[in-house]
Amino acid sequence: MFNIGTPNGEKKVSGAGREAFAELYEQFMPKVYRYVTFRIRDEHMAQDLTAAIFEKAFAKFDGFNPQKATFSTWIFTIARNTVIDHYRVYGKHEDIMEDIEAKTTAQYPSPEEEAIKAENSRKLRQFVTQLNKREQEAIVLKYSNGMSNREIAQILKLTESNVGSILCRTVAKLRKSFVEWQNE
Amino acid sequence: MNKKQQEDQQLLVNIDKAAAGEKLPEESGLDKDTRAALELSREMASWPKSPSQEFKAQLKADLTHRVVEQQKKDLAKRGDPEYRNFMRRPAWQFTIAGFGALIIAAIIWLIVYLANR
Repeated sequence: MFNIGTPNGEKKVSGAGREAFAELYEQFMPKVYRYVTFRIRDEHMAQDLTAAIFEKAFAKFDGFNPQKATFSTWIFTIARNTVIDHYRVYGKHEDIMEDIEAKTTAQYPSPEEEAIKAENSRKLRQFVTQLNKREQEAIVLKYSNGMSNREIAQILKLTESNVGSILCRTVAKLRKSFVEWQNE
Repeated sequence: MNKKQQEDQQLLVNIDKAAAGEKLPEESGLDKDTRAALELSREMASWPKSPSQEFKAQLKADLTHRVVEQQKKDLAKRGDPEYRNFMRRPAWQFTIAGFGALIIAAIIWLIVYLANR
């Protein structure tokens, strides 16, 4: 028996070793994928990175110690490092790539509104990439899976109140940049 | 707690709700800046995508294959436990001992026979 962390609290999972990995995969793979797609818009690249994250996790699973960290903290630390490595190799330009088609079309009544919404989204994404690394990480972890500040603090090795301050400051910063851009 | 801290605290609560996709019924009562912040929060919360069932199943199959391969390797290293258990069964041990004794007796008989010729 060992504990794994979830945004809803701790949960006990029966079994150990490789069999338990399958259970953890079911629970965490969609969350990790959401985290990756927040940062990497290219779907194929996001899939490749998610696969790489779980392959690394599988290879290191014997070394995972639930006494030291929850599975959530452990897997998201691997995910974070994998995405950082990806940027080291491919450069940062990729996450400001345009993604006009990503927005849905049905909810906007006219093509003009669709275009405005897509442009707003693209610009906001650009502002996010201009944040410093710590601010970006906090934003990604918060909005990709709705993580609690405590979980984010564990992954980023910060205090919970520090994460709260970073989030408040960062959202305010984004809002300011966005409003200034709209008023240009 | 001063006014700024209270505002930050409230903003954090609202950010959590927006990140979780929850609606804020009291939104009309919020100030313009907070509403703008929540609008951005909702937009960011809409960016992540869920994995397709196809990808989820494919990756699971790949990992399962690795698990099976790893188990095979582990088994090869330790030796097959079924084989070892079989060898430990008394009936099997008795049979092997019987055959061994028979072979030794046959060799002794052969030596004695050849010596007396």
